[in-house]
Amino acid sequence: MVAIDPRWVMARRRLEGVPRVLFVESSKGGVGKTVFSTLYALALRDTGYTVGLFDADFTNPGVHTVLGVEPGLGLIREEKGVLPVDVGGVLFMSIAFYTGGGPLGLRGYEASSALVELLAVTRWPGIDILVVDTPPGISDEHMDLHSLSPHTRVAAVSTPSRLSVESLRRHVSLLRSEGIRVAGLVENMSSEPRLRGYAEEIGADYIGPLPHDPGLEEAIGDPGRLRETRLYREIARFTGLVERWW
Amino acid sequence: MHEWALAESIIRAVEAYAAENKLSKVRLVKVYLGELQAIDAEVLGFALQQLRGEAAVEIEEIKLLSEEAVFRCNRCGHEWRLSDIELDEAAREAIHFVPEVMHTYIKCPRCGSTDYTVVSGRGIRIEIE
Repeated sequence: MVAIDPRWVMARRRLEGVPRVLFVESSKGGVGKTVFSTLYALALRDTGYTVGLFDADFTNPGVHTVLGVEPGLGLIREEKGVLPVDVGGVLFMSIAFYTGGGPLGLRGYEASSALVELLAVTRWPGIDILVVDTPPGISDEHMDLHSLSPHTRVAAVSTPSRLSVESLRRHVSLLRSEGIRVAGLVENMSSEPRLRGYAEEIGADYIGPLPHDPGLEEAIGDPGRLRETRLYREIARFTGLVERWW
Repeated sequence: MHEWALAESIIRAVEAYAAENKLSKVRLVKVYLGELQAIDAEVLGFALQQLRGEAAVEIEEIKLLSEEAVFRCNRCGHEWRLSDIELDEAAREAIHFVPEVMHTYIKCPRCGSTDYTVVSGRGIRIEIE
């Protein structure tokens, strides 16, 4: 007798069917992963790609807030699985649909279990690229996610602060030791390209410097207004990179 | 429907196991249905029968078995069953999709903590013979 968790097989199959999976990561919190993930997904959509956007931060999801989606089961449709929700042209899935935006404290193994459950049942029909917003750090969810797709690439995000850069270096070092390609290095909330040299050193494309945009806060919750922000325009300059990353 | 995706997961997992072990058939697949996830056994059973016919491995028998949901609080050690608590329909539906969101909707009936473990009956697990 052999005991098997069938969800892993299915989650892997579903992600294998997605030709590009981009994880947006940083060990440090508060560097702008969620906003970058969302705007980059919108920009890729506007370039002509069919884009999925998955919020993998199960204990503190935020993408639904940036997109202006009211969390709850009302938008979820079932069709031989669960379909992501079309928001601003991007196909979006988040644990927030199931928690209704309420608090969710999970131990590491439970975060893994919830992640694989949702990925096993979520269908991403015909998408060209899946952008995954991840929680800060490298923990169970990251290790699980990296192993689920053969098409994994990472965009590492940092601000120019020394605290953030030190954290970035540790994160990148760990990813590289695991054989995971850091394709892009995002320098966020910055006025000058301080991390360009480091990006070259690790063989990543430099995305930046992305400015602190005072107009962003007003646009949060409205994909149309997000597309009018300076930050969106800056991020949209880098959508062509995905053709080099896979 | 969601049960269809779960049935597909089960069949694909059996196929993967058979391929790894170079088996053309397996005798028995036991599917344990955890009470917490409230899977519709009839719908799942129907989907399994449909998918079984197209599977890359012959599956002689599929048995569906239910498992009672039992929780243990990590704070105070209290143990309770799903039947001991009340849960509204919306919470049940959310937990049906992702059982771990129980931590949003269920608290330890004794101390009120959301830090507890599902001892048994979380969701689907399978055994292959």
